[in-house]
Amino acid sequence: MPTRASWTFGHGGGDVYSGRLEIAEALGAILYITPRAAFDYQGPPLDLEVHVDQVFVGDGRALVRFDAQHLAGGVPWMQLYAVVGDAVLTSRLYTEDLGHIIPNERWTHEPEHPFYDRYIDVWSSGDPDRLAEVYARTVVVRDEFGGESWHGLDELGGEIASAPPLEHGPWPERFRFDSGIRPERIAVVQLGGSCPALEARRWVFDDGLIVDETRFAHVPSVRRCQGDGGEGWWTDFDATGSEEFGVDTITIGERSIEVVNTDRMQRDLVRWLFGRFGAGSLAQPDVAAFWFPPSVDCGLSEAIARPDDDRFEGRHTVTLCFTPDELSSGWPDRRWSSHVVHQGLHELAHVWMYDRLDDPDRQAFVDRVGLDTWRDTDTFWPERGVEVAAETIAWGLAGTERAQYLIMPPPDCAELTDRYVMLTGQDPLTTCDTDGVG
Amino acid sequence: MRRPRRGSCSLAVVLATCAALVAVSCDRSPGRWVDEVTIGVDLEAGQRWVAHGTPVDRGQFCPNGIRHVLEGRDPTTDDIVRVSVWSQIIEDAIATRNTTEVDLVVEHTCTDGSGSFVTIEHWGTDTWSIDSGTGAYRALTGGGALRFATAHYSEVRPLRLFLDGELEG
Repeated sequence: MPTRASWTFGHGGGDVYSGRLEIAEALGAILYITPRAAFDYQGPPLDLEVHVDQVFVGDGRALVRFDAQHLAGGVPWMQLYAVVGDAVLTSRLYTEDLGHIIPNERWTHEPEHPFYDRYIDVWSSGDPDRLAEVYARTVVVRDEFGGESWHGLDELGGEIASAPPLEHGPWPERFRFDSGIRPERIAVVQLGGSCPALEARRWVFDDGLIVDETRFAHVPSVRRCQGDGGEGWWTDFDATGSEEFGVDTITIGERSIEVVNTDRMQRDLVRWLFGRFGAGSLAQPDVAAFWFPPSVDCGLSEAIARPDDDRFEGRHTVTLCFTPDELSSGWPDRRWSSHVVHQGLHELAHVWMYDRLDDPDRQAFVDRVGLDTWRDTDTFWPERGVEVAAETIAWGLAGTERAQYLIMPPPDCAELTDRYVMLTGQDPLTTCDTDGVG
Repeated sequence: MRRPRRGSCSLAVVLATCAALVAVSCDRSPGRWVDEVTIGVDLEAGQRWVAHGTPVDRGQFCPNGIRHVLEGRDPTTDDIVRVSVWSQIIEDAIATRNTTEVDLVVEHTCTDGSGSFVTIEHWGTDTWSIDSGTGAYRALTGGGALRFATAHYSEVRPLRLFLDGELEG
């Protein structure tokens, strides 16, 4: 598991430097690097030397591009850190995207990155109609440093005319993290214009198109182009003393679940959420791990379920992006926030459906609710069968006082009940005794 | 690997500069600059480099960066040379100061994010030229001579590679 790292941003002069020994020490504990570096290697532990080359920052996140070198040569990496305060980090490591299968061919075959090339070409064209070649219609693009965001192709289309010219970034330009149906890439691009600057873009893919793009600013570029604008939480940030993120194990029934970054209240919430499935006579969702902030996924949404998380041997995981102070309802007779309950049950419903619905079940539900597709990148989420189903199960398990259904307009309570029964074969815990949807 | 090549101006420039580091004859746009630059590469410290010259002082050329060898080529056949071969040539140069003929395609990335540029280095004949650039160095042309040296004549190490040349940007 990624644990911790240390890096420090220089103050003034545009310098960016790092505590490379501390980084090397931290990286030595990371499973991602050690097995690759030590592949078929029988000697003493390799002496990794790490050079930090570029640092990109966003809102509580940083992308660090480094070379890890040992006797056999150097390998470029990109690591995404989520930062809270000045202490705890979680991270995700991206490997160089070679563009072909066989690593040794990196030296004899020119890497092919047709998507990256097309992306540069689309943005260079200035033609908003061409954005659909690389982005899903439902894409969300966030400039974490500038604080701007664009939702959908129409909004993004208004940006392309005023965007600075885009060129390929320096080698190796792309890094990859593959996790099931939502693989990620980090692309480094060179922005032109009156003050050329580097920028890193994190792409999350679905069905071959970008569904989420997060832009990170290059610290020295910002300092050069904006003068005093290049300072922020990262200035003089030193994570030398950071603690490893906490991983605990809780037992639910006969199942052990890893819970990450939790306090007692968050662990209680996890138990309560799983308890709703038991109360509703549904099998427990097969979750390997339940994450809370900080998480590198929390910049993308409030919650996310992963069907095949590489960090946990391809098993299902859930990330719920709520801190302990956001969990409480504020009411003396109701411990949990209705919204948190809804989000948690919604993601667990996805996990439950991964293993318990087959294609005929999904198609039957899509037909039942009058939609066109179970899941499709170019369909807005309220119009996807899988999201309607997850909303329905979350509604049915929440209980009458907490039940929410976020897709507007909601079906009436009797219809929701019928849909819930169709999906689960059980009656919902939420009843129609009160007005509305519960 | 990306090697965008531009027009033949850079080739003309390198021929001129290889001869005597004289001024270049390409058409120049108003506001452009032509001046001498020296790039000193520390071959033993991650191939980081420091640039000196009037363009650096004027903020027209970035002061430091890192370089990465994209590929090596046989100067006679232009065939790609295995990485183990050209990396050994670099190691031998560091150890013995003797260089074997090889052409290296090298990307130089400015630390300050202003852009990057690709050079073609002809080891053995010890000349180099700009191949392409991005960002502030899109229109960069020029080239010059290579030399290996330490910071002071009395030192043995670390060996540095110096790219002396006249650039137009």
